[in-house]
Amino acid sequence: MTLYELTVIVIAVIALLILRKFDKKILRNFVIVFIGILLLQYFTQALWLTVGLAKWSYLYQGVNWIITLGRTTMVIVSMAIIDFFFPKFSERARFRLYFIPILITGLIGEAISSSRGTIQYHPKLLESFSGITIFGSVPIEAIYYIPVFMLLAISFARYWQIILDNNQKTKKNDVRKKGGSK
Amino acid sequence: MGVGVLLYELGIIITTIVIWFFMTRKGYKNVTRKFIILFLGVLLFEIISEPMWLNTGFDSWAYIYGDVTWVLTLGWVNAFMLAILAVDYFYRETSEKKKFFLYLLFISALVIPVEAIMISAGLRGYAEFLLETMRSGIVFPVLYLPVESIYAVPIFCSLILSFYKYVNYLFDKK
Repeated sequence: MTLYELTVIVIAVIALLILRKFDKKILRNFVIVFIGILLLQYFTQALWLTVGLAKWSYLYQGVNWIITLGRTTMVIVSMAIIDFFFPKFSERARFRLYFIPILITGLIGEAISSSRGTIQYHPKLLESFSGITIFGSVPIEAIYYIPVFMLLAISFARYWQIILDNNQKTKKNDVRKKGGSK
Repeated sequence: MGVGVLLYELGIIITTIVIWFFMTRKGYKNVTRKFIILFLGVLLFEIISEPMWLNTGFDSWAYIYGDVTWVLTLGWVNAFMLAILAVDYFYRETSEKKKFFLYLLFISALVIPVEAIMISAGLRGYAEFLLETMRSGIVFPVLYLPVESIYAVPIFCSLILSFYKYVNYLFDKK
C-alpha cells in the first residue's frame, strides 16, 4: 500500500471517529456523500486520468475509490465545520457557506494530487481551459469546477439524508400509532 | 436539415411553454422557479461535461457556451418535468424514496429514444475520448446506442433530480 492511499484512508477514519461524537448518523451520511461523488466521478471519468494508484483501488477504468474517499472526507468535514460553527443559521445559509471550506480543501487536495501526477486532466479538457494555473499545476478553472461539481454532490447527499430521515420519522410514528391502538 | 432543425428547436420551446401553462392552470406552485432550478441543474451538468459531447447542427442562436445549447437544455428540462408530473400524478401515494427511482425510469424512457434519434440525425455525438471509455462494444438493439450511454442516463439524472428537489426544498423551507 502506498503512502498516498494509506494517508487518505487514515484521514477518512480519523475524521469519522471525531465526527461520530457530534453526529450519530455520520457513517450513513458519509456513505451517501460517497455515492454522490462516485456517480459524478463515474460520469465524468473521461475528463480525468487517475494515474499510478494501487491496482486494488480502481473500481472501473479510471474511477478510483481512494479519490472518492478523499473527496468525501473533504465534503463531510467541510459540512461539519459549518454545521458546528453556525448551528443557528438557516439550512439555505449553511448550504452556501459549505462551499467556502470545500473550495479551500478542494484546491489543496487538487494541488497535492495534480503535483504528484495522481490526477491528470484530459488534453481535451485542458483545451477548453485558459491555461492559467494556480498552486502549481491546478487550472484556475478549478475555482468554479470544484463548487459546481460539489453543488451536485451535496444536493444529492442532502436530499437523500432528508428522505431517509423522514422515512425513519414515519416509521417511528407508525410504530407509535400501532402501539397506541393496542 | 435546416428547416428540420428549426422545427425541432421550436418544438422544444413550444413544449416548454405548454408544460408551463399546464402547470400554472392546474394550480402548481412556483412553476417558473421550478423551471429555472431545473434549467440551472441541467446547465451546470452540461457545462462540466461539455468537452464530452458534440451538439452540432443547431442554429447559432441556440448555443451559449462551446457545444452547450440552451434549446437542448430546455429539452432535458421538458423530459424531467414531464416525468415528475407523471410520477407525481400516477403514484401520488408512493413514498418519496420509491418515487425517486420511478422518476429516473420515466426520464430514461423519455430521453433514451430521443438521444438515439438525435444521434442518427447527426445533431448529437460523443467525443472520441468518451467513446474510448465505452469499451464493452455492446450496442443496444433498435436504438443503436452504446450500452454505456444508456446506463449513464439514470446516473446523471439522479444528480440533477436531487439538485432540483433539494434546491426547491430550500426555497420552500424559508
